[in-house]
Amino acid sequence: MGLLSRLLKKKQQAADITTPIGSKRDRMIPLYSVLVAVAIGLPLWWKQTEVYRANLPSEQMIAWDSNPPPIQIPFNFMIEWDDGLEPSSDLVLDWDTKIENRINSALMKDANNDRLRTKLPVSLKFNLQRSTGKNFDTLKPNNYLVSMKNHEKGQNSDKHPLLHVTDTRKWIAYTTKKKSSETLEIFEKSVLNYLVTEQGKLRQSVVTKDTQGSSKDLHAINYSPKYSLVFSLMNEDPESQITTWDIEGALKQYMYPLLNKLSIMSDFKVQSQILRYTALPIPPIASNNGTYITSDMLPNFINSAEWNMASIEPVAPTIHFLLYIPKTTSRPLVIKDSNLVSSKTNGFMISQWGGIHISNPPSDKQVYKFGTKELQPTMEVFVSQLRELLGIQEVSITKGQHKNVKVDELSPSNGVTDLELDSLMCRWLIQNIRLAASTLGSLDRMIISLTNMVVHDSIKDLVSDALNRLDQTVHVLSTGELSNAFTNSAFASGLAEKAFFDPDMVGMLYFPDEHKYAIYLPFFLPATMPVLSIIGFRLRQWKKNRGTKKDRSNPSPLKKPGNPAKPHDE
Amino acid sequence: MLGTRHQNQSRNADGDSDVDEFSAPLLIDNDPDSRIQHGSIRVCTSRFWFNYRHIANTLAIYRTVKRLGIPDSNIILMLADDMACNPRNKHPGAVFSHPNHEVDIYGDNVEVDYRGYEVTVENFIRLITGRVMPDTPRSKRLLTDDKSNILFYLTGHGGEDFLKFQDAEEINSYDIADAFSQMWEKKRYNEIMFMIDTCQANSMFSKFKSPNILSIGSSRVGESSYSYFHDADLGLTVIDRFTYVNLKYFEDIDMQSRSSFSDLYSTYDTKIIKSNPGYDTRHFKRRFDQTLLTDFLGAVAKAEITEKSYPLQRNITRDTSKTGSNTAKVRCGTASVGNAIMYILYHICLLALILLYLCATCFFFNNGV
Repeated sequence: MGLLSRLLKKKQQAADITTPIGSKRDRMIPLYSVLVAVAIGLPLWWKQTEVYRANLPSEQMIAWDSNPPPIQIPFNFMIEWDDGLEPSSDLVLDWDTKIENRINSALMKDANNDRLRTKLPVSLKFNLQRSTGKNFDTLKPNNYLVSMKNHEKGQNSDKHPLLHVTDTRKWIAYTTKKKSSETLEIFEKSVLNYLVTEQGKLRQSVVTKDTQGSSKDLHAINYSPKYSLVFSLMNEDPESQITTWDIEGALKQYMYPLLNKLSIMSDFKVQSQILRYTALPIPPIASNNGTYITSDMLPNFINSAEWNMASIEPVAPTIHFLLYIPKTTSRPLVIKDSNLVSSKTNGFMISQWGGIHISNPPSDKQVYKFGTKELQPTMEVFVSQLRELLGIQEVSITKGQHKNVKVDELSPSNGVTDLELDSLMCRWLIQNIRLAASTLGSLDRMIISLTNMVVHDSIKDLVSDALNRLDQTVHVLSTGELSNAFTNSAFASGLAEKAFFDPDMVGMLYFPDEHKYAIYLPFFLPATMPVLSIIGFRLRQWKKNRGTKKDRSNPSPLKKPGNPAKPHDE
Repeated sequence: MLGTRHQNQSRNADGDSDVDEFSAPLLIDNDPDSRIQHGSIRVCTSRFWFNYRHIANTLAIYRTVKRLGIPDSNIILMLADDMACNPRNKHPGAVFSHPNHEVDIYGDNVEVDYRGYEVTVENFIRLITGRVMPDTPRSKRLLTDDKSNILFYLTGHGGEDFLKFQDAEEINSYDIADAFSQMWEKKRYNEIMFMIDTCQANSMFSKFKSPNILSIGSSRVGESSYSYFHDADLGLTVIDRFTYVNLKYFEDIDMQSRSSFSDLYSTYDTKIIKSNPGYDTRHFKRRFDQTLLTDFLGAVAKAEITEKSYPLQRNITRDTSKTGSNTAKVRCGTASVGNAIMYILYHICLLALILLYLCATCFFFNNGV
């Protein structure tokens, strides 16, 4: 009790103290507190509600998108000679530099003539070296070794020089001492022809998207660091015949060599399944022997409503391969084109989706097993389809040179020749650079246009990593390392995509004004009402005072009588 | 060009129709220009039993696109509530869009990708902009590219420039427009068809600024959209008028159909719809009367007969398969040698033990005796 009374006394005392001198200060206190609140509170509020936006290297991002540095893809050739075959130095001095210069100037000319509006200046660079006598067991992509062999020792059917472009990176040229310079000419022409077409293809692949790509491009699935392949055995009627397959053995024998070759660029995840009772949504047309479906019916072949083709891969593109076994009553089921000519392969491809092969096993057995051998025709169709789906294109190296150039266009052991593989790598490299550059440009434009979007430091890190990788790609290309450059470009596009699709950069970006009022009013209205009223009151008082000051020329407006704010003052 | 059908809009709502307020199913169908593949996504954002018709709208469109060849893997269906299993549903496990209850549009083959409380504005924006969490399964991702045509179908309760999600939040036309421009920026679509059935639906596409978007809405700004078919059995209306008119037209088209959007639009009867549907082709390059419905609603794959197969060697002699089997063989060999040694050692030991035992017993007995 004593404490309380003492407290009350103290308070009274304090009031007593403040009241006499408070007249001026009291009036200023609300103004000061408003000032302090505004001076501290406003910046604090501004800072607190500010959207965090990391400082992205905007100029670089835009530069890569709109004005990228020229990309030069190296092609390195080495020539080694059997004893005594090299053209004598007094005959052809510096033949290697001469060939190199001629091819490069032709490539340059071609690039200049090429009126394609590309978003990425791409050109090829040809390097030629005399072999240093090293042992080349494995040659890196875009590194080729041409061995000049004595004609008599090699193929001896005719004496013409012969350039054998093999399915590996080691080419062989059969020549004689007299014809060695002619052989070099053939080599020069073939390589030039090849490089010019490659250059054209590469530039075409980065042409501005106004012109639609060729139909070939539409089949192809874009580059992905990972693909998922699903092989399905579809049995329409397991009641009349049960089918099984030795898919593991067949894949190991026919598909894996190709996938191993491609694995330097992408990972492949292979799965297989057997589906039964897979009725066709389209009834095949009966003919005198068996049934057929026409090419118009093919788009509706896949019964997407009933066949379980769903993939569990979160992002990787899935490529399906179906081995379809029709019911025994409709066998043989064949595919006929619009002229009703039976297809040779009995297979067809659906763009960007996968391939289908229809097989008609003998229907006398109750259980039919596709062994590795029986699956070979199927696998050959699938390999051909996979090549098209990935965009592997046959290379053209001969043009009016057929007599002297022999090209291995097929690689029966691998499914892809090294030349095709390198060509694909170049195309994917260019596409990756373009994808990374355009993604960075899009990201920059998007962030600028959406001012409410939060941009964390992690985005900045990803972007600078991507830019580094892009610079690295160009740098590594200049040193001639294609596969290394490819890896960098794949990283660059992956990082750029990751930055663009970062899950943090989502939210309501547009707030209508009504929402803003609705949020701030409950906070500020109760607080601002008394403050505003006191400020208004003071203002009114000040005006009144000024009026009285003019009337009475009172030197002290604050001590004027009749101040209603402090009635106890009087 | 912004076309609307003129009709007197004021107060023509009669007793059986109630005003849309809350649900938004979305349907996305990606069908590349070259008619390659397709994908479709549907989202329903309406909760509560009385919004049965929004679920029914969405499911009916889902059935249509599925019939027209878009597989479930390319459809994203978002339903904000589970009407089939609602305790008030007199027909458990079934959803009907017509009072005659002939076709169960829920059925036993439906794949709802986002359901219940997963249907939020955030998830919707994440889905279409591709900024999903890394652990999101494939069925909840929109994996489209610059060759994809996408159909968005949204229905629910809305108002001018907004569409309610879950009766708790709303998406506004600016957010959708921003999301679409981000999609365009990242080449996530070739063309979009945006179809919306809600009140004042046409306001939802008025803010679009990205190219290649064709929009159709059920009603003008200031108008309500109304429901159709009261089902006395279920005690509510089962479909919306605008969706009903569309479905009726879709019923007659198949994968080979050549019907264009203007054919569809000309069937819109404002006497039935009771609002003025509108369309917007400002951002669309192709002509309205030359754009086929199946470009968005269906998926016709582009098939090509494989000309030739790739001749492969019968006996593979190179590459890893060989080295692999060799190493396996070697390993096999060493393993069998090891086993043999172990086998012999074991028998020697056993023999030694028996001999030792014999010796010991002999010794013991000799001594003992």
